[in-house]
Amino acid sequence: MKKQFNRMRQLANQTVGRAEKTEVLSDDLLQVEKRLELVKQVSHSTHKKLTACLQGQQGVDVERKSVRSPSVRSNSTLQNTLTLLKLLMCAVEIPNIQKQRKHLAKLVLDMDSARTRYYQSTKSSGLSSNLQSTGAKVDHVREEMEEAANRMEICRDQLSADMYSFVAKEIDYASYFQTLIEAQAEYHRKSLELLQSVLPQIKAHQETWVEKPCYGKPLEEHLALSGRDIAFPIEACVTMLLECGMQEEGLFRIAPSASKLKKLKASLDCGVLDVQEYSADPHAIAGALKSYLRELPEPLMTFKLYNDWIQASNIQDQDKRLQSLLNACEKLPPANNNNFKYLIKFLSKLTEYQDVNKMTPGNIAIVLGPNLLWTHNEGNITEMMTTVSLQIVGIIEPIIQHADWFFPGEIEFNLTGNYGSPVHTNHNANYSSMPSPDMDQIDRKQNDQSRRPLSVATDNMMLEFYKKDGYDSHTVCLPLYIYNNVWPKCGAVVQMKEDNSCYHGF
Amino acid sequence: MPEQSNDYRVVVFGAGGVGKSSLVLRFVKGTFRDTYIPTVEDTYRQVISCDKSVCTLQITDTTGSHQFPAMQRLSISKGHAFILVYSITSRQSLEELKPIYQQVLAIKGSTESIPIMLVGNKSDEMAQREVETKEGEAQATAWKCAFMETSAKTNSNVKELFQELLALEKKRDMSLSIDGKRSGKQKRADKLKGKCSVM
Repeated sequence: MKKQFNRMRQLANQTVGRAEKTEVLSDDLLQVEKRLELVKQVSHSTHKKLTACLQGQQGVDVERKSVRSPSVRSNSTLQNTLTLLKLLMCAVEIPNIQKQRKHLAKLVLDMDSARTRYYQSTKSSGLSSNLQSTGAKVDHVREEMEEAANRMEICRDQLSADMYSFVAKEIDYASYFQTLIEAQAEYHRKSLELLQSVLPQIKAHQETWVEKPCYGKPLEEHLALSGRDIAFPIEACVTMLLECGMQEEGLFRIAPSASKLKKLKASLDCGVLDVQEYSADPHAIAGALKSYLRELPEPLMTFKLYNDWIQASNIQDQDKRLQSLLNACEKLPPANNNNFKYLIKFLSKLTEYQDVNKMTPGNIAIVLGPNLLWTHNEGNITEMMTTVSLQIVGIIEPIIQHADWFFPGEIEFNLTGNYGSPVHTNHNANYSSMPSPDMDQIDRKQNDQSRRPLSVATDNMMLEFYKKDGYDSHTVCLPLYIYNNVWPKCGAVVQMKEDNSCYHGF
Repeated sequence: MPEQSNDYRVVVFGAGGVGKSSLVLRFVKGTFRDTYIPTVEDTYRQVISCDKSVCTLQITDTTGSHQFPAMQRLSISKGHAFILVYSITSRQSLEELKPIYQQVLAIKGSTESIPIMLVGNKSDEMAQREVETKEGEAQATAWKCAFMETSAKTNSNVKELFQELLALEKKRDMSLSIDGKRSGKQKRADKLKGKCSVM
């Protein structure tokens, strides 16, 4: 009991005051010890990070699997693991040294206490008369002291040896870190390479992405991005309306349900189309088409030609007015001209049903005109919206009335098939499940996909030809003949007309 | 030209094809045309009695086929009274009025002192009815406005509609008749001139 208490007191003294502690290690070794502490901290934190990194990768891998190629990933992981193992070795050595250091401290303590006791006993032996018993006790204590000193020395030597060897090996440890950093550098380099190689792929993928928003985007941009001639919403809406909306009273006049319209616009924006859902709601389709035209950054009939159109509409003489309108029409950029033609051709077809749908050219012009042409100076709103609206009616109405004179020749509305939607197999299902009066026609059209682009091309070329020849009815037959000779495949034009005829059927 | 303060401006709103123009034409001209022509915007004028004097009732027939928010805001801010027309044969047309009412509320701040009539037109087409009278009444109650079902075709409730609308105006004392008989001076303004006139 007393011994233990003494020990405690000694320990307290030593730790608090460090008074009696005997320094058994040389200065060098003390410095080594400090350094050891530093190395320990560094390697410990690195170890922690690496472990976290390795563990983390397991989780992240799943997400990144698609992007990162497996070989590179495992490679860098392997390197990391290797370094980690080395570091672990290093980390194992350090605790060993530390354990010994602790052991040494304990031994030093033992030795010190033994020494103290020895001094005490020698002192007391000097005072005491009973020499023999005290002598034996002193001897015993001295032996104890010597033993402790011995043990301490062995341990100190061991520790010193370990520490020296650690110092010697420190360069190796440093090299482990170097390896680690190299591995990390390599890893990051490879990651960078990988990311850089993946980036163009993703970009390319995005460029070929079919679901691109089209509302509110410039016409040219949309056409270029999607590789179309006719804007997707225009073609989709027109083909759908041809199926189900031609006899709807007040088409384009009667407003659709706002929520339905919003949904349809959003679905057109991502290129998905549930034809079946909207076949019962032609007003939503017409509304979506109107919205698309209205939301174009520039009207389909362009800002630049605004004055041309207005001036043309102010001409009193009808023939001159028509000619003037035609001139403006020809000034339209090709993309706008194509889409405008497509739309006018459709609207002209719509007026064929005016007995049922009540949409005369004039009516269509009133409700659609302001979506086709507007001016960018917001000046007098009242004037702009009313006077100009009426002028626009005066522009659109004759163009719809004389659609075949403005844009001679038949036109294929279903250019890309599938309601103009991009290739989505599920849409085929929708398409064929649609109850349709001219099923055979549709089936045939789907099989004809390969031929369609050609028919469009020739159609456009013929148009160019007509333009050069000034729309004379005699020359209209001629180019067709010539083209048929020069380019035998032009039979597609005839095919195209047959395709079109199906729309008259209902 | 009547003086600015003498004008009493009524604006007719509603979805496309509900019969705004038909109502206005029936009231102004007493005729019904069975044609189908969308309106860009027309303004009609009629002399009525107001505060023991005469003033011009100016009726603006708006378009229902394409909404230009700027245009709508302008009409609302200039209008003294509003007729919101839907067709009893189309629930959708009643839905269309909701944003318009909200816009009136937003621009006028409060609809308390503003005469507003909710009108269910085409009451003759009972067979195609989609919106029950009760529903129209409920909507009118919610909007704290008056309600009426009309038929421009059969001339049912058309005159009453305008009479009641004018009666709702508490700031002025107005009635359709001048010296006991309806004015024959009603005229349809020239379309283009109508647009440019000082309102």
